[in-house]
Formats: sequence, structure tokens, C-alpha cells
Amino acid sequence: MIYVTVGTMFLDFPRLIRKMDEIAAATDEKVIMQKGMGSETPTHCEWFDFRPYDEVVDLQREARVVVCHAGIGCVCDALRAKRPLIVVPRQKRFNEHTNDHQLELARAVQERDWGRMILDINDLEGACRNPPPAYENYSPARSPLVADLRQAVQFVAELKGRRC
Amino acid sequence: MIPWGAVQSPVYSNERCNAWSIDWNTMRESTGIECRPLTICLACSHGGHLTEMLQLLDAIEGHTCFYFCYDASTTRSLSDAYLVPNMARNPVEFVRNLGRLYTVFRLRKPDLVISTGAEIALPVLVIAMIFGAPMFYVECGAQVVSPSFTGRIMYWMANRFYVQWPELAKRYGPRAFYAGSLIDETMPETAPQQIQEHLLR
Repeated sequence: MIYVTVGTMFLDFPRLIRKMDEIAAATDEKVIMQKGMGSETPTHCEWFDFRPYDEVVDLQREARVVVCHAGIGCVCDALRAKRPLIVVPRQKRFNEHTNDHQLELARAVQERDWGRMILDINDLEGACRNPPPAYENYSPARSPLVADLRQAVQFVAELKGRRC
Repeated sequence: MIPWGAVQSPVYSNERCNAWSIDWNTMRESTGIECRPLTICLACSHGGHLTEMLQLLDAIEGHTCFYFCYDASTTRSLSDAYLVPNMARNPVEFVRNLGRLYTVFRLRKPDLVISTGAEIALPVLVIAMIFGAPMFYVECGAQVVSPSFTGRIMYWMANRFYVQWPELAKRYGPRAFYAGSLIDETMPETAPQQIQEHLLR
């Protein structure tokens, strides 16, 4: 199964949705798509707008390949699911996002070998057929950030204690 | 910047960021002051910013928190949330958000604001300054090498400014620091305790 997700962005992402629809029409493999707020709807995929978070996580775990836009939520979830990842950044010149920051994250994904970045949408079919290997040892440096934030919050709690 | 509202406290000098250098563990032992549970306002937009916020919730365990978010299917399931329409780039909406936030802040009196972005942090910043609540900002993990618009403002205004990529900390300057990340695997160079001194520079 190929899981495609375009996030919660209010702009449409027809480039990816149309291409993925073509790929779905040509293959026997099941394609499930989260299509978000856009008006473009695929015809050859099973699709939905939004689903609860835990259902989405399950879908990613079951997928053979995850194809997503380069949004932080999607990439984070896909990496934690440890499935082969293909990122298609939304680009400003196609009016898919308000700026080009998704290119940055997509490049970072490629540089760190987390997955593959697709800039030319015609490369997507090949990438789905021969996906990059899943990045098995993914462990983000979350705990020091949470520890630091907790300490800062604790500090404010302390200040409140002083004033009361 | 010194936490707003803490400036008058005799313990802290007026030097910028100096409040953070105080070892509050030692302070608690010597003064017997206890931490009070806080009311925390969590401001973020729906989507990835919300995903990040949910991953940071461990840091505020034991405190009361409420959300200030855009209205979307992902945010409607949050338990204690104030939702506003997503018309971020509309200046009229910005002013209306100021009004809504004023009401929310008067009602809930948050002691602290934490935001993971995006531009919803800006009206919250204005109201937080009026109410004297300190603000922490965690730059979105999607900004890898270039600062975001909100980030550029929050870099100067937030009491604590985190970035999630080591490359980006260098781009911003000394007030931004990398203490770990929800996405990148690079471990921070300094332990949490040392980061407080980090801010003094």
C-alpha cells in the first residue's frame, strides 16, 4: 500500500494528487490518500480529507511507501513510522505554498538520508516503484529539548512562587 | 530579555537575560520557595505546529494549559481550546484576534505562553506583553536554514527562543539556541544546566 499525505495546508496540491492518481490507475497496489483542504480529488485512490491522528499513524505504519509533502508534521510522523519516505515539497511557483520553506526541509531529509526528495513530479513513479530504504535508526533529539523547556517552565513557576 | 513582570524583583539584576542564569535549585533550597502550578497558554496553528506542540507537552506536566489555535478538524478535538478562524494574513482578523485574546487572557490569566508558531504567535505576543506573561517560542522544525517571518520577530521578543536545527541557531544569533529537536537527531553540545549560562553571552 502507498500512503499519500498532503497535510493541513489551505492551498491545493494538484501536482502531487494528479500524478499519484495516474500512478494509482497504472498499478494494482492500493493507494490511500489524505487530500486535506484542497478541492482536487483523485479518482483511482481511496481518499479522505482528515482522520484522527492515531488512525493516520496506523496507516503510515502499514504502508510500503509514504509519499508526503515536506511539512513538519507529516515528515516527523513518517520518520517515526520508519517506512520508506518520499517527500514532494510544495513550491511557491506552482502556488502550492506561500513561500519555499518546504524545499529546505526536503533537502534536509535528502541530506540526512531519511528519504528521497522529488522536485520533478515525473520522477515520482520511479521512486514509488524503487523507494529509498527506510531509515531504521531514527531517534530525534527530543528529550534534551523537553528537559530544557521543562526547566524553563519550572523557573517561571518558581517566580510565581516568589511573588505569591 | 528578562521575563516581563519579574523585572522589579530585587533578586534579579536588570541585565538582559540575567534572570535565567540563576540556579533555581539552589535558590529553592536557600529560600524555601516552592514552585506554583502555572496556567499556560499554548498558541499554535493546526497541522505540523500542533504536532510539535503535542510532543512538547511532557515539559509542562503538572501545570494547567489551554490552547489558542486556528479552527480546524485537528484542533476541534483538543480539550481546552480557544479556536479562531484561520485568516492569518488579514489585518482585520489580526486586530480581532487581539480582542479575542484580551478576553481570553483576562478570563484565564496565563502565567506563561508557549508557542510553536506560526504567525498566530504574533497577536499572542502583543497581549502577553500587555499582561506581563513571559513567552517561549520554539521555531518550527520546517525552518532548516532560513529564519521564518514570525521567528525573526520572536527572536527579539521571546524570553526563550529555541530552534530545531543547529544550522539555524548560527543563522539567528546568540539569543537563539539549539537544545535538541523534535526532528533532527543532532544532540545539543551543552547540557540543559549549561544552556542558562549560554544565554548570558
